[in-house]
Amino acid sequence: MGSTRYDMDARYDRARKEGYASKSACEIFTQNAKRMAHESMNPKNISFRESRDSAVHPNSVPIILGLDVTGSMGHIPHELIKEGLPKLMGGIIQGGVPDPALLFLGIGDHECDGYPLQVGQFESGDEELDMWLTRTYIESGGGGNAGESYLLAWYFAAFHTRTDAFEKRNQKGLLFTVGDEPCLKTLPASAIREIMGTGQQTFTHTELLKEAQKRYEVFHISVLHSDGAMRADKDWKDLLGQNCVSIKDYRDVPNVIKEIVCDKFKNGTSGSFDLGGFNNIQMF
Amino acid sequence: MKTAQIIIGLGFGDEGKGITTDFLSQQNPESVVIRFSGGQQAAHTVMIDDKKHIHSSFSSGALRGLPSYFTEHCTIHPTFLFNEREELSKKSGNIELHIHPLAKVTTPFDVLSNRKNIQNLEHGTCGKGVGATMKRNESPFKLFAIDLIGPRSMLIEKLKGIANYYGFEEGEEIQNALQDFLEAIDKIDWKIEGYSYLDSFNNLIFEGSQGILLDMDHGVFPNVTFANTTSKNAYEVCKLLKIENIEMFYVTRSYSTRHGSGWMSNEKELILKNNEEETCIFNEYQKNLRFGYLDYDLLNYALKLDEAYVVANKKNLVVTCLDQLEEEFKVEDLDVKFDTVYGSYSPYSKDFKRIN
Repeated sequence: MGSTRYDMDARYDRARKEGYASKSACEIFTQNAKRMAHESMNPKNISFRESRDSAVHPNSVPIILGLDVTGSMGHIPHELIKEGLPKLMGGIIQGGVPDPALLFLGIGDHECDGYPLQVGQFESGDEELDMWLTRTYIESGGGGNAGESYLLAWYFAAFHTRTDAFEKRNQKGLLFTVGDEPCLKTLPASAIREIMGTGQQTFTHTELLKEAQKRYEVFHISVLHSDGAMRADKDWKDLLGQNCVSIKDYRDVPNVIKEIVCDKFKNGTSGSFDLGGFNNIQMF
Repeated sequence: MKTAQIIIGLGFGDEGKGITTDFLSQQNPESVVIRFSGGQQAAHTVMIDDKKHIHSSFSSGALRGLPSYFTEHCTIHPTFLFNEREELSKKSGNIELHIHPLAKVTTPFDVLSNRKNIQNLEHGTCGKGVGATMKRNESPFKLFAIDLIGPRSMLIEKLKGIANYYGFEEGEEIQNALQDFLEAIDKIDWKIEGYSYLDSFNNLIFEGSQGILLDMDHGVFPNVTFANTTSKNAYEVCKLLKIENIEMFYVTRSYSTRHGSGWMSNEKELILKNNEEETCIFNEYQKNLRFGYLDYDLLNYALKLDEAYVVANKKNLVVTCLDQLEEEFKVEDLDVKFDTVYGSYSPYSKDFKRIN
C-alpha cells in the first residue's frame, strides 16, 4: 500500500461525480444500511498493517487517525469525506511533508458495540483513502458507560502496525484519536480475543498508551460540543497534557492534524532523534 | 445389551425434552440421565402429581428419583447448582449428581461479563454465563470441574486470572462474588467421575439441551448457542462406552417456538389454550416466547442433519403440546419413518399416547 499519490484534481472530480457534498451520510457510508462493518475492515486475525516506503514515497510518514463512530461523533467522518480529507492530505503535502501514509481506524465501544474497531490500510492515494473512509461503518453505538474505546487505537498501533519510518529511520509516527468522551480505562483480554481473535492479557489504558508511544506520538483531539465533552477534556488533558488538543468546531479536525504533522515532519528531519548535526557524534 | 435413549429437540429449544425425559425415566427407573450439552441455562420442566421442578443443573430424571450425570461438554455453575440441589431435596428428588472432570465451570465473572455485554443480549443470551464460559475455555483461562476439588489456593489463583481476563479489578464486588462462589463449592459434596461411572448402568438416557436449530454449526449465526445440540456428543459417549443399541427420541411441539432473538421461518401469533404451565415466561434477557405454525421442511432438515451425527437402531418422535392448538399434526409430511410416534396432551408424561 501507499505507492499512489494524493491527486487533488482527481479527488475533486470524484467528489463531484459521487456527490459527496450533497449526499446524506447513509448514502455515502454504505455499510450503515447493512448494519455491519465491511469484512475488509474486520481486525480479526490481522497480523500487521504496514506503512512502507516506495519509489513514489521514499520517506513515508505514518499517520493513524482513529475516528469515533459512536452516536455523538458520526458527523466527523461525514465532514471528512465532504471537505475535510482533501484539506487534510492536501494541507500536509503542501505544508512540506510529501509522503504521508494515512490509516483510518473506526473506534466504537468494546463494552457495547458490535464493531468496536475497524481497520483500513496505510494509504497515500486519494482514491484509496476515500474508499477506506466510506467503507467505515458508522455504528452510532456507544451506550451509557464510562467512555469509548480510544485505547483500541493504541492497542492496534502498538501491536499490529509496522512502519519503515520507525524501522529504517527511527522515526515515530503520529496517532490521533478524535472524540468527545473519556477513554475507557480497561481493555480486557476477553474483549481483545473477541475483536482480534487472539490475546490473553488485560491492559489498562495507561499501559496501552505507553506501548503506543514507543513508536507513535499520541494525540487526542477533544471536541468540546457538550458539558460531558468538557468534563472528558479534563481527563484527556491530565493524561496527554499538550498532546490533547481541544477544539470547539469539529470542522477544525483536518487543520489541527495538518498543523501537527507539518510541525513535526517538515523537511523530513524532526520527529527522529535530533543528532544536532554531526556535533554530537564522537569522531576519532 | 446396553441401551442408549437419546432425546433431541428439533427446534429452537422448549420442545418438551423435560417431559420426554420424565416419560423415559418412568419406564426405565434404573437408568442414569445424562446431560451432554449446554448447562445451567436449560429449563426442563417436569411435573409429577402435585410436584413440579424445572431442571437446570440436574438432569430431568431427578424429580422422579434418577441420578444425573453431566459430560465434559457441559457447563456447571456451582451457586445455581447448590440452590437447585436444596430445592430438589425439599421435593424429595434425587440429588445424586456425577460430573465429568472436564465439565467447564462458570464463574461469577462469566455471568457478570455476559450480562454487561450488550452485544450478547442482541444475540439472544439467557444471561447465565454459558456462552462466556465456553468462549473463555478457548483462552488460556480455563476452569474445569476437577479444579473444584483440587487445592483451594490453586483454585483461587485460577479465579483471579479469570477476573483479570475480563478486566475486573480487585474490589469489594469481586471479593463478594468470589466469597459466595467458594461457599457454594464448600457446601457441595462433589462427585467428579469419568465415563467409567456410567458402566454400571444398562439403560442410559441422554437428555439433549436446546434444539438442533440453535446448534453452533448449524443455527443462523450469530443467534446460536455455543454447543453442539445434535446427537454428536451423545453418540461420542456411546462409542466410548461401546453402546450399540441406540434409540432416538426426537421432540417437537405441535407448533414452533423461539425464545430470544433470531430468525424464525414463520413467526405468527397463535391462539393457544391449556398453556398455563408454560416455563418460558418473559425474562429481561430473552424477552417473550415467540410462536409460529410448524414448519415441516425445517423438521425434515433437522432430522436429516442429525443423521450426520448418529447411527440409530430406532427412531421415535414425540409431539408435545397437542392439547394447546386446534391444528392436526401431519406425520405424513415428515420424510423419516418413525418406529413410534408419541403425542403429549398435558404437562404430565402420564398422558403420553402412541399416535401412529
